[in-house]
Amino acid sequence: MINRFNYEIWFLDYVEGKLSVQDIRMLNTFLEQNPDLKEELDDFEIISLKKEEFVYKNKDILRKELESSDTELISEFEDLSLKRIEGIITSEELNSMDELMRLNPSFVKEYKLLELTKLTTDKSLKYKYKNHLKKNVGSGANNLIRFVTTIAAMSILIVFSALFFNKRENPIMVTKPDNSITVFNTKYSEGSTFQPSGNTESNSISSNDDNKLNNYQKKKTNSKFIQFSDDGNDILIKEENKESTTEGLQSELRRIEIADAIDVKPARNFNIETTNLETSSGLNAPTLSKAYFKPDLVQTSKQSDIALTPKELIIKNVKDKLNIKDRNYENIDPVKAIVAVVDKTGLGKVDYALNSSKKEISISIGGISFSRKWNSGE
Amino acid sequence: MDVKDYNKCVDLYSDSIFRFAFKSVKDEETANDLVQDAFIRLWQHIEKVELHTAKSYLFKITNNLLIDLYRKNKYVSSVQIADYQYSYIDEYSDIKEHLDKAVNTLSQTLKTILLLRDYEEYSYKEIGEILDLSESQVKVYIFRARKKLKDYLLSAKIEL
Repeated sequence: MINRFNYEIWFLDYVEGKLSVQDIRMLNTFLEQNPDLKEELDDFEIISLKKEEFVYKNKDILRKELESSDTELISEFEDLSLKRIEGIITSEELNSMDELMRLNPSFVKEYKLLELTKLTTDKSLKYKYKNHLKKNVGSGANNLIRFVTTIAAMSILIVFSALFFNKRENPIMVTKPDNSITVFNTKYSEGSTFQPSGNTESNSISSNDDNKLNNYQKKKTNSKFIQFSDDGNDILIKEENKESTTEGLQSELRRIEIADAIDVKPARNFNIETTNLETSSGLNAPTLSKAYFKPDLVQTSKQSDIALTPKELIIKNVKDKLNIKDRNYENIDPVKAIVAVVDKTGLGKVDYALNSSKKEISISIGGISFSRKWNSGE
Repeated sequence: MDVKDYNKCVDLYSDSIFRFAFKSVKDEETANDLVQDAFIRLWQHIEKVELHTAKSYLFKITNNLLIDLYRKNKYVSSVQIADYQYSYIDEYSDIKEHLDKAVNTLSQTLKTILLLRDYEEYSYKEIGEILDLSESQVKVYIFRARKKLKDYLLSAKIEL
């Protein structure tokens, strides 16, 4: 309620625009009732002071350095800064932080340093080998195919290795009258031990009777060896199952009887020792086999006999099949072999001539002729 | 995930993985190997990994490979930094160099977390899932990493 004791407050509120509409009506009613105060209101003005720019220059004197007791404050500021950098600061915390920076300019530098720790991606770093990583669609099937072919290739390689790289140094080969060849699948070298693999005895061996053999030394068990009889006609496969002395061997012998000893080199005795895990016989075999190497035991009664090594035997068989008449079984002339093959197959006519200084060959197959001459030394 | 998705992952994430690996080991050849190994592992587990989780899977694998590498080679954080091009303009190159050196002084864990946070903008939760850490642990590690970097920069007397 407006009266003459509080009208000034109402005047001030009216001038500052704080009166409601209803209050203004009340004021107007009051002024009509008090015309002298209406004049006073007309003269009433808001006199305000203009803000002047004024800077206190000695703030630095007033400021205090943060003491060690203010580590809490420092820590607080640090946490706020980290939150700000991480983008998880609240508005209230932001205000606190700004206030701290305002009061402590050193905090500004602290914050700027922390801002730098926000790493930015170096887009220039790119991976160059994306295409190497990518897979072709359907590569699952390709992988399977690749796997299967790899296994197949490895199997072939293993079989190939077993067949062709399985060392068979100097296998013992005996040719029987019916031209069948008996092969002992053993590895040996002269004076060394056999390491038999698989079946070391041919099924074509037949045993007849026992023979005493001289010049035996003490042997281990399970020894087999081939020895030629005194007359050179027989090959004796001796299988011994017990130790024996140098003489008076009583053991079971098997004998191969072959009519023609021509294909067997008589001058070798081979001690085949079965590799047996239960015995230690294999360990001393080199000594034993050397002891058994008795070239004088065997003689051949046939002058025409040619002692053949297994290699020579093979070459001889090839030459026989190709009707190459020379009895040089050390090697085979490839040209002669070709000539013989062509001739044998009837593909055409081949002439081959050898003289002391040159070789000459002419081939005629199906009407096409070819001839060449070259020196023997080539 | 099928082969197409896998190839998509190669396009989308190989650069990120490479950057992460390179920043960690500072050797391009080693980083290339790491990327390749990571994607080989992804390929081996293609049926178990979904496309939307492939990125975190790759980072997880890469991080494990890095840990193995560190154990094997006994990498030290302050290894020789490779000389490589900076993408910043020259006037900032000093700061970036210092920052790079500073990052190298961090432990493997702190470095990994920082790289995942800043380079890949993973959340705390995502980083925690990649590294088998809780969110609060990740936050603590990040704060520690930044403080260490700040202290390094302070000691280097960087001009701001």
